[in-house]
Amino acid sequence: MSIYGNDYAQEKVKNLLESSESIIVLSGHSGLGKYTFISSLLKELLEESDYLEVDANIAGARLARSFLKLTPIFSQFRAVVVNDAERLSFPAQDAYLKVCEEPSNSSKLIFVITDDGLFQDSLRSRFNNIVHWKKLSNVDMDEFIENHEIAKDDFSYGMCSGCPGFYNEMIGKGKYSDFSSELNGLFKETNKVLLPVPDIIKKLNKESDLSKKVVSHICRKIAVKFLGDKSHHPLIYSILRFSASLISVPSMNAELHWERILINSQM
Amino acid sequence: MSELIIINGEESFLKERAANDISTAYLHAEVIKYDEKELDRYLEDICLVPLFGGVRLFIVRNVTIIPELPPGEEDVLVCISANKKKLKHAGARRVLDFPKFKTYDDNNEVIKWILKEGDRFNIDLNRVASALFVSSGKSLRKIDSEIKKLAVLHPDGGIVSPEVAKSVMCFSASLTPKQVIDSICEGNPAKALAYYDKLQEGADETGWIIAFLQRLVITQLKMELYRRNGDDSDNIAREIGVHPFVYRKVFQPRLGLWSVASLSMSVDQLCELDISHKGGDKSARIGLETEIVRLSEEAKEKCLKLEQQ
Repeated sequence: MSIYGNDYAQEKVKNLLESSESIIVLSGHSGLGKYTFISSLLKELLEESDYLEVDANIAGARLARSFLKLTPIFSQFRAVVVNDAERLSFPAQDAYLKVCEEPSNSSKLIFVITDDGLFQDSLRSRFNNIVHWKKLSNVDMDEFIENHEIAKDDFSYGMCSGCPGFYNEMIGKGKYSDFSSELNGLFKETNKVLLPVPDIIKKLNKESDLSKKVVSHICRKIAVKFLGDKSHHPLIYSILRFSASLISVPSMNAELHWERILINSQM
Repeated sequence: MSELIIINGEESFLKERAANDISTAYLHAEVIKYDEKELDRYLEDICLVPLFGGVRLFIVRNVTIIPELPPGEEDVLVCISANKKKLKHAGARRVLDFPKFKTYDDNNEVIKWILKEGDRFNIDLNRVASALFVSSGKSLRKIDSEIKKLAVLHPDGGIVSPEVAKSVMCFSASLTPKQVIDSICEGNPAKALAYYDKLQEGADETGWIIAFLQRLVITQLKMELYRRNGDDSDNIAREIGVHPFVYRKVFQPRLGLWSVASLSMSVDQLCELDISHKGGDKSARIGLETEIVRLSEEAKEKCLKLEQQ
């Protein structure tokens, strides 16, 4: 599968996979295609039995350790991908320390993360290969839309901030533009506590991870717009807190935490 | 010609019970039950001649159209409709209808049904009918189970008291964070912590308890703010999504137990605890216990002040 943009990063990752390097970190904003790229590439290179994707938790770390101890059956190397590594708790990161200190020659451990600064220093110091992915420029986004024959939507284009994955998720779905309008309206409304919870927030626990990332992104983008007015700072703080929690703790009850935003803004 | 009995309506418990009553009435009948998906088996079985003769009673559930009637002259077919769909047949001997009970404020059919059930069991449920409705809602199956327990405990013709009903009802439900919430609202921190410890015995239920407490605090806060806004109790009940009867019996007495500032602080604290618990932080339990005690103590002080007044 071809991923648009970040050609240099893609080439660098391919070279690292061919080399003897064991730990690779793909770092960059969500929606740029990092995970899609690495998982499709590894599925082409490796047999099914030599490739594993694990959850970003301690159980995943233990599974990864035992998987990487074994020699590859059919392929050149065994690979484990840890997607959404920003969700790794500190104990889970500690569980990866041993693997990163003594990597095997026939194994590769790949972390996909939004910001490599979220790793603990002890783990981060063991990374030699951090490949940074950048957001696409407007020119690149226009080319992406043209090459993929997708409709151009002003709202999605303005909101996606150069992340093609987000653009693809938002296009043709009115729920995101409705949510954006409701969020903008929140800053103008005086009696916020009695406002209803947006529909998208009520259904968020059943939505995909990508949908949660898009909602989080919209919250951040709109909250930052109102930074100039000090009277909005408590509300902005609550929204940014909500946005960060949505990414780091996706299992949280979004509706209850949204109510907190409304209550805090009123008090 | 075989006999056809149709049971329509949306109250599934009453429909099933009617079918069971019919099968009991045909004492010597061979009773065979089917679901709509098993119609093939039904059509095969009706063609078979019964080995020892006698009445056969076929009960088919979740039916959308009346299937072929059994050929035997003494056979009986009972068709139970699938929810809203009303079945009709010119040859039906009896058609029973159990429409959904309405629970309007001035016409609560569930409570009327509870009182009739009491008459059936020869016990007086006048003093506990409301509590049964509040506890079990519209679940007639659950209410029936509670009434059967009360009937065992009471002599014929006895009046069931709220204290006896409460003791029976609390053993019918497994332990949930609701008991912790009720104890907090009673202003009893020791009882709340006892239930909390009991819940945590089997497995880590911190997340579950936090979710219940969050709901309580947010609902209380909204009620206070709606009341400040000048909304009446029916409006408030609609906004918080409960029946007005349940609001007046359960939620309204809790108004004023906590100040608005205290509740909003609690919302913040519980959301932080939720995030840290889901992030794997074990110390969230300590924060939760502290919050349970704080809310209980505040409710206790308020209750004492009200008593003194």
